[in-house]
Amino acid sequence: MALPDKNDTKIVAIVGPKGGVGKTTISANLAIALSKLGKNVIAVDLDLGASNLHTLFGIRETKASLDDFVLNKITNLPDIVMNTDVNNLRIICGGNIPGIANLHYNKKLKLIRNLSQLKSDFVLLDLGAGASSNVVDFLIIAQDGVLVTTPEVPSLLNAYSFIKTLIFRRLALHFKQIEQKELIELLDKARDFESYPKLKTMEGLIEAVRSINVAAANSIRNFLTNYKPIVVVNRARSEKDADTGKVLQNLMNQYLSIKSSIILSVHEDTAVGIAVTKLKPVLLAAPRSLFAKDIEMIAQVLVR
Amino acid sequence: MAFPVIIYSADKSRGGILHKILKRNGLSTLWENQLSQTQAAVLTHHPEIFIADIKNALKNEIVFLANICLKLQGAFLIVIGGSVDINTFEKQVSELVLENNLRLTDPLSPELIVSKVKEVLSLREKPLQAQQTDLEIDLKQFLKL
Ligand SMILES: Nc1ncnc2c1ncn2[C@@H]1O[C@H](COP(=O)(O)OP(=O)(O)OP(=O)(O)O)[C@@H](O)[C@H]1O
Ligand SMILES: [Mg+2]
Repeated sequence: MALPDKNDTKIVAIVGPKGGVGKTTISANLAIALSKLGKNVIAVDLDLGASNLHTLFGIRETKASLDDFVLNKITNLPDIVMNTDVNNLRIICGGNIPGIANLHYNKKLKLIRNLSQLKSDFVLLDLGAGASSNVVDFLIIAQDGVLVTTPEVPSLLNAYSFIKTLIFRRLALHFKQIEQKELIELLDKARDFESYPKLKTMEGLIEAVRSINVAAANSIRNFLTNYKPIVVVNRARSEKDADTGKVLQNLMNQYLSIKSSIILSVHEDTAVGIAVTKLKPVLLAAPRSLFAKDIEMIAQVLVR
Repeated sequence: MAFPVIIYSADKSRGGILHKILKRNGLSTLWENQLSQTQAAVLTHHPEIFIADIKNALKNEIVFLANICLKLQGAFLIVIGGSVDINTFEKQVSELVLENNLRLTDPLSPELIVSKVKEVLSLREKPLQAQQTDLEIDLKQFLKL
C-alpha cells in the first residue's frame, strides 16, 4: 500500500479489541484535553456502522457524516469536518448506513488516503472494537496507537492478542514485499508455536529469521525498538487494577520483545455516567474529576 | 542522595501529608517549605517531578515558583491548590512550562498524586521485570505461553 505524503499531522488511533471498554469516551475527552493544550484536533468517528462519538459532544444532528463520503455525495473529506463548541476541536461524524461496515476495499483506501491528508496538529481515530480489517487497515497511517483495555482478564487477553496480531501482520507484509517464501512459512509456524516451541518468543523468531535473512531480522528488531504502544487500563477501581497494565507490559516485553510500551490508567469514575446523561463530555462537565486528570495525563504523553 | 521528587508546600499539614504518603509508597521525596531552599533543591537534585502546592499563595510567591518552574529542565510539574491560586499561576507561567504538567484543584487527593507520580516515574524508566503475579500466571495459561 503506497503511503500518502507526510505532513505535520499526528494521527492517533484509539483501539480496543474488546467492545465497551471505553474507546469512544476516551477519544472524545482526549480530543478535548489536547485542544486545551492549544493543539488543533480533529476527532474522527471510524466505528463504521455503530457511530456514537458525536453524541458524547451533545451533537444531535449530524449535518454531514462519513456516509456522505462513502456514498460519494461529497468528494473531499475536509468538507464534512464539523466545528464543535470546544475551541480548536473539530469532528468528523461516523456513518450509520447499513453495510458501511463492509466498506469496499477501494473506498476504504480512498478514505484512508483522505484521512492521512487532513491538516491539524492531531487527528484522533475512534475505531470499532475487534481486530478486523476495518480496524487494522486504518492503523497504517497512525503514528501513535492508544490501546484501551479494562483490568479484567478477557480484555487483557484481547489486548495482548491484538498487539501480537498487529506485529505479525507487519511482518507478513514485510516478508511479502521482499518476496521470501521461507520467511512467510516461518511466520506460519510461529503462529502455531505450540508445535514449534522455539518460535514461542519474538527472540526465537528473530533468531530463526536471522538464519535465513540477516537484513530482515535487523529490520524486525528495528521496528520493535521503535514501537511504543500506549496501553490504557480504563475503569481502574484500585491500584491493583491499574497495575494490571504492568503485567501486560511484562508479557509484551518477554514474548513480543516490545521494550518501550507506555502504560497509563484511567479511574472508574461516576463523573463519566453523569456526563453522559447531560450529553456533555466529562472534561467539560467535570473538569476536576479523577477521570479528567487521567485523560489529561494521556494528552501530556501524546504531545511529548 | 538525589531526590526524584521534590515538594514545595508552605503549609505544614498539606506538605506533611503529601511527604509522608509519597515516602510510604517508596518514593524518595524531599519536602521544602521555603522558596529559596526549594530553588536550591531543584537546582541540586534535578528532580523528575516537582510538586508545587500554591494553596493561598501570595502573588510574589507564585511568581517565584513560576521562575523555579522555568529551571525544571523537563521535569514533570504537578501544581496543587485552590482554583483561584491555579488561575493566578497559569497567568504567570509561560507556555513552555504548561506543556509538561498537571494541575490538580483542591480538595487535595494524596492518592491521585501518588498514582500520577508513579505513572510519571515509570514512564521515564525502562519496563521493570515485575515478579510473576497470579494475573500473569493466568494470562500465560490462557495464551499458552
Ligand atoms: N472510566 C470510566 N468510568 C466509568 N464509566 C466508564 C468509564 N469509561 C467508560 N465508561 C462507560 O462505559 C461504557 C462504554 O464506553 P464506550 O462507549 O466509550 O466504549 P467503547 O469501547 O467505545 O464501546 P464500543 O466498543 O461499543 O465502541 C459507557 O457507558 C461509558 O460511559
Ligand atoms: Mg465506541
